[in-house]
Amino acid sequence: MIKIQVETVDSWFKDAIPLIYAHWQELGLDIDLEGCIDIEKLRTLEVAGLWATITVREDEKLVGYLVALVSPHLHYSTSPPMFIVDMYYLMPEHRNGNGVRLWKFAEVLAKQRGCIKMYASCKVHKDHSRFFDALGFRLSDYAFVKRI
Amino acid sequence: MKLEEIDKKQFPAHYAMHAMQRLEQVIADNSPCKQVTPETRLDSLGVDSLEFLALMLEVQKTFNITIPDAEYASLNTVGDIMRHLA
Repeated sequence: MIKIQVETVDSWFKDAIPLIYAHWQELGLDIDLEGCIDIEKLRTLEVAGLWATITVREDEKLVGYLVALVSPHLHYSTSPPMFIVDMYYLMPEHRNGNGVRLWKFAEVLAKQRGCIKMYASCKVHKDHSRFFDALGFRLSDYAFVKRI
Repeated sequence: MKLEEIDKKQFPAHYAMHAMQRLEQVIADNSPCKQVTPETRLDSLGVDSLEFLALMLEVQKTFNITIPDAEYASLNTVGDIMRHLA
């Protein structure tokens, strides 16, 4: 039985390391850099009410997650918060529709927390444009990176 | 008898039986899975997320219902969809 819920940074992270590693292996671009989640910073954001951790579990086993910054945008600091998804992942064997459920859950949570906008992204080499389009997102930005 | 012709308040069991048949047909038309039971997991239908969304839209259109976004997280099985039809 798949269950999607809000958890704390700590309850997520204690089970998340194998998934984060699989996530990084599947999608990471900077594989020469050490992957290292700044858990202390996430805890600080969580305590400040600026972080959301959503988990997907099958029975008790963590099979996916979506984590997001929940904060007024730096450019619109007097406006209600925005839901800026930092990363999301589902184990490959759990992608048959669970992504829809995860993102719809995230949208409901974002609304509950007063957010007026969600930000999502995907890798160019793992294009989810049609998925986000079907969920009602619109393409708004291209992002460019350069190793220096 | 067509599903629309059954008074679901007066004949709930009869309606549920026909609704399940219709739902089976919608799933068969929109996924590789040709036989389901109320216990069949939705993530075992053999559809990806886009196909799952299309299937859910078709279910809502067929039965003229709206499944709220908040309900998606608790949709695990075909039976969970059935509960929205009752």
